[in-house]
Amino acid sequence: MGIREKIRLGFLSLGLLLFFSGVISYFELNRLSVSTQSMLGASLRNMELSKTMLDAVQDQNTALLQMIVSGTRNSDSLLVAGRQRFETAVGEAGTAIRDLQRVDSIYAASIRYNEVVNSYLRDSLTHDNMGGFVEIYKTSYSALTSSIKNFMVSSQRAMDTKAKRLEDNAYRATIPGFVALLIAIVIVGIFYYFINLYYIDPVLRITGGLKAYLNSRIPFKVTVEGRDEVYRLKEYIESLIDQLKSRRNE
Amino acid sequence: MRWNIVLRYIGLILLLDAVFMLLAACVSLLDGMDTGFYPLLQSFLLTSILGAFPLIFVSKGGSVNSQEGYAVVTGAWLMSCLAGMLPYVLWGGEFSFVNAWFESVSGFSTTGSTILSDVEALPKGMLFWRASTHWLGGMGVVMFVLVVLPSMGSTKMRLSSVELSSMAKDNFKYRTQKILQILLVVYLGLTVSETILLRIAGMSWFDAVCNSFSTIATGGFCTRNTSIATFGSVWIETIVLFFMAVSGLHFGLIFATMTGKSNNLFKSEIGRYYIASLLGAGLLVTLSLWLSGVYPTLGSSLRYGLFQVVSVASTTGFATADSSAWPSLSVILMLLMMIQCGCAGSTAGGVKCDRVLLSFKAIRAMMIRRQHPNAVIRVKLNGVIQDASMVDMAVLFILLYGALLALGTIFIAAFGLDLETSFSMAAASMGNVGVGFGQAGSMNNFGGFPAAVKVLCTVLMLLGRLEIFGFLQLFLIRWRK
Repeated sequence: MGIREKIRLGFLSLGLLLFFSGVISYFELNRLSVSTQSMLGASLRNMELSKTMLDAVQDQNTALLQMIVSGTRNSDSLLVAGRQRFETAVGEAGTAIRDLQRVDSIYAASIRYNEVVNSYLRDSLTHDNMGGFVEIYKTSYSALTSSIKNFMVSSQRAMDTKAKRLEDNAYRATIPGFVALLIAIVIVGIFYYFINLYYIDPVLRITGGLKAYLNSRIPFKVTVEGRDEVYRLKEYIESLIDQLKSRRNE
Repeated sequence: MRWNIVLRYIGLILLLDAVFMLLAACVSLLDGMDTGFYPLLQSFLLTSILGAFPLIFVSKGGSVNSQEGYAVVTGAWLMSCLAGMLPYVLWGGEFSFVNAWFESVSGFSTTGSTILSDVEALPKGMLFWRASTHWLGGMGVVMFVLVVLPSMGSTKMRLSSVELSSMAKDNFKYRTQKILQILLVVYLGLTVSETILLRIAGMSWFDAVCNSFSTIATGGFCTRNTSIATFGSVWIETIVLFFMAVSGLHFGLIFATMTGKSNNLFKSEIGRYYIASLLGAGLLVTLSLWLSGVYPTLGSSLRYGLFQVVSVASTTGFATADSSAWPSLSVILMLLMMIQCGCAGSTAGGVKCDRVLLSFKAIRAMMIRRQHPNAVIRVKLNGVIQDASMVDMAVLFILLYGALLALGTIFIAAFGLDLETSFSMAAASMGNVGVGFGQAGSMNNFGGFPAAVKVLCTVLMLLGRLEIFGFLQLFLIRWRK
């Protein structure tokens, strides 16, 4: 292999080292970006769904209060709309957030709440037995709102684990560059050593040998490792000196 | 010293490491491209480029002298350990730079101590890489390359003579290339046999391969947090026990026994001594455990006692019980076995049975000489008269081993650790055993120790792996220059 190829390969190795490290960092950063987006998206969705559920329960509560105060069923539509919104949000939470345990507990609390509300609508309670109903209603209402809040908090807590994973991903995205840089420095050191050993030193030795021959007629005796261009240069110089000697003798 | 030649050979050895990194990356890929994939792939690329770089400039040919031989072997071990820490550093988790260095040196030197508190958190690719470092280190990174490379002339002999101690070559009556081939055949044969048996006994293929790599290399890295105890199977324990004991034997003896040669295991004085010491210590520990009521039956005492004795004596370091809580007699016996270890020519570390037996014989000869001053008393091993230089080397080695052990213990104790922990840690690192007693017990890890202690342990591991002189020689050469 000639000098040009060797040096080209040396630089190519360095380039490849940095390129591959860059590519791997890019993939890890990409993974980090996707994970971050999905984590933030899940967090946002969780907040939205929790808010929708709480609003829907609030609407049902308002409708029921209006019915109790007015003694009519004028707010039926608000109640039905609140229920529908709530059920849609619970369904979405089941598929989007995947915290099935918490979603199930919301679902169970909502069934109990609906039963209590339905019992009021069915029996049309009078003011005499309203006290007992309010107690039962309060319990089911707070159970439902608590389960929604628990869902919101638990989902946010789950983000903690995901954040740890993100931290690992961030580490894996940044460290390759650092390690590649360290190895590149080592390779540059070796490269410098080889260039000195195989090219600069022999050229200096040849120059010194030639100088000594020209100035003081000291025989040109230089050893060069390998069979590359520097070696051939030395060979040509030796044959040139031999030719000069033979011409002089003639 | 011609550093270019040294760099070329070290480069070849790094390329071998890179091949195993690629294999580990493939395992990661098969495991659904787990989190170990990119770190392993990048480590493969970096190590390949680093290894191939000197080959661009330094042409082959030209044999190495003994100084260069020492530089190649020591340099290859150090560079393998440095390259070996790349997957850990790039993966992160519990691996800081010091922890990654510790895990890598522990792997290549087949020590088997770990800094991981949760081994099972590692992806499969990384677990495979950990086991691979054992397997590469067990045979010797340089030896692997010597077997693979077709023609290296006298270089092969020179490097193998540095990597293999003269004692290890004793049982071989062949040329260097043949010795290397025998070593590889025995090593591969034992690994494949154990893998198949462990699979039959109920392990998954992955666990069977990784644990076989660890057993045959007498390493000790397991794929599970509670080592072999996790599997809770007598069959698995028996298979591992058998292969641990066999891996502590001279590979030449195993080859001779399997091929029906006359210089087989049963005719070897050292082989008989090794087996007798395993059985003797195993029996005493069993009795100690049974009589002190640690285990209710003699059977369970034998099961756990013998396993732990063989595990430390062969320098493997697997565990089926927490031996730190065992009675003092058991602990002392196991500490002695931890210092003596297996036979020369095996993958085990430590002082080696050969040197212990030779020293006993030298002491006996000296006693006889004192009674009969004019008598000519020769020290014989396996019926062969040993040179005085060989005996001197064995005695000096034991002396130096003891001195370094004492220094290591003092250094570790300086960090406030108790004597049991300090001494057993130094002995476990120096003998490449991996498990000690006290805080360094078989069910603990080294993660919580100060960084300086971990670094010292890695130095002891390398000294033990390169049989002290191999490691020190390089620095002595430099000083003289």
